[in-house]
Amino acid sequence: MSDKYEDIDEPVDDDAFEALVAQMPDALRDSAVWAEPPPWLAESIVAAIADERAEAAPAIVAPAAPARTRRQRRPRQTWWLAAAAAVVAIVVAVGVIATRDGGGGDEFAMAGTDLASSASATGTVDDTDSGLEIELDIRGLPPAPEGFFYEAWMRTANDDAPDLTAIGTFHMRGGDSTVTLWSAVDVDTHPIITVTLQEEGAGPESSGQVVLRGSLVEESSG
Amino acid sequence: MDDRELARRFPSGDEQVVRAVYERYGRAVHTIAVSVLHDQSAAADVVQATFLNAWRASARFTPDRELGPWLYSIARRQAIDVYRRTRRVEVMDTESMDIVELPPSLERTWEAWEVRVALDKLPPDEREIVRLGWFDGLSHPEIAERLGIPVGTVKSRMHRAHRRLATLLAHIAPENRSSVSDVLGGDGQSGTGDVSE
Repeated sequence: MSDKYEDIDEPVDDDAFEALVAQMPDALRDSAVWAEPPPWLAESIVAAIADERAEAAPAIVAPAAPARTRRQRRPRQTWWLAAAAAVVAIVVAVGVIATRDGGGGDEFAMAGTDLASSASATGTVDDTDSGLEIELDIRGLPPAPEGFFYEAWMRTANDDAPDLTAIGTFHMRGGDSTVTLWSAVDVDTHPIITVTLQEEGAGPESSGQVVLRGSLVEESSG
Repeated sequence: MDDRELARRFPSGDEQVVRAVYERYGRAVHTIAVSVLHDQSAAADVVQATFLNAWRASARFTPDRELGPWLYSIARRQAIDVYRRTRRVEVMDTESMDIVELPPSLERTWEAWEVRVALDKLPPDEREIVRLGWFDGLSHPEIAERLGIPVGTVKSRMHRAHRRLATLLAHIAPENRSSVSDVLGGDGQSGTGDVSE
């Protein structure tokens, strides 16, 4: 007998099995239990996953990720912190720091994360009678894959349990462009702006797949 | 490769790992799909969608959960989604709005899953004997004639198969059974909590 199949050493007799079967009389006679999948199915599944990997690979790791709760995003905290640290470093290095100019709106910059490292954005925030009008000039962000879209968020600064407010969605399928977002929350309470890749139909929560991140207020240099 | 290692490597989408996961659980996923849909063609689509969705969500699969129950949850949810869509169309077509046919219960599909997983762990010769005896309803002499082997061999293989199955399925006997929701986590649907079709 092949080693693949474990020997049963316990003294289990037919009576034990008969008793078990008597309590689940249908299962062993259920045609579904004995139905065999078509032989091509394994290849089809392997190919489907390979295709999706190939499509997702070039610029963005499209996760086809369903919505997750904020608490479920916690395992990615280390990744977030690293991304945040990278963003701060980039912002400091290029000297593009949010400034309150009182004219054409407060300026800010966003940097691409590991999921979209070639992406960047600059923007302005105008405090209008209707709320904050945020214009984002986005460069290098690939079009959202079919079935996905981008969503912008304003969030509190605490990474442990951030409060997020959605401020608009877009897809970038026309190439680099400027998008206009609106928000009713204040930059003092929600100073971080992010863009995530979302799956259509996956629910209203953030996917956690952040592709752009920046600060709407001047970063403290310590 | 054990389940934990399979689960750890599944997110990579590596062809060998995907094949290994399918080899271990593909037939059981198919059983769930057929149990719910009673349609082989639709069941194959459900199996494919189950594995694709599982792979998409696998990066967030935590190693403290078991791979089998997680796949079961995705499979059942996927099959029931298809079932509901199909039923909706059929009901609209026939206008038989008063006829309500429910999909099999969580307990019944879980039992079918466990039995299928156990049967897949049997050596092929023992599995065939069990199929001929329990599903086709053949007697020992009839099985012997069908397979061209002595009746004594049929009896001994059936005996070994019974011993294995009794051990493999002991945990689903009513006196030993955890609630299905305990096995799947919480309300029995939480295994699909991070999967959305």
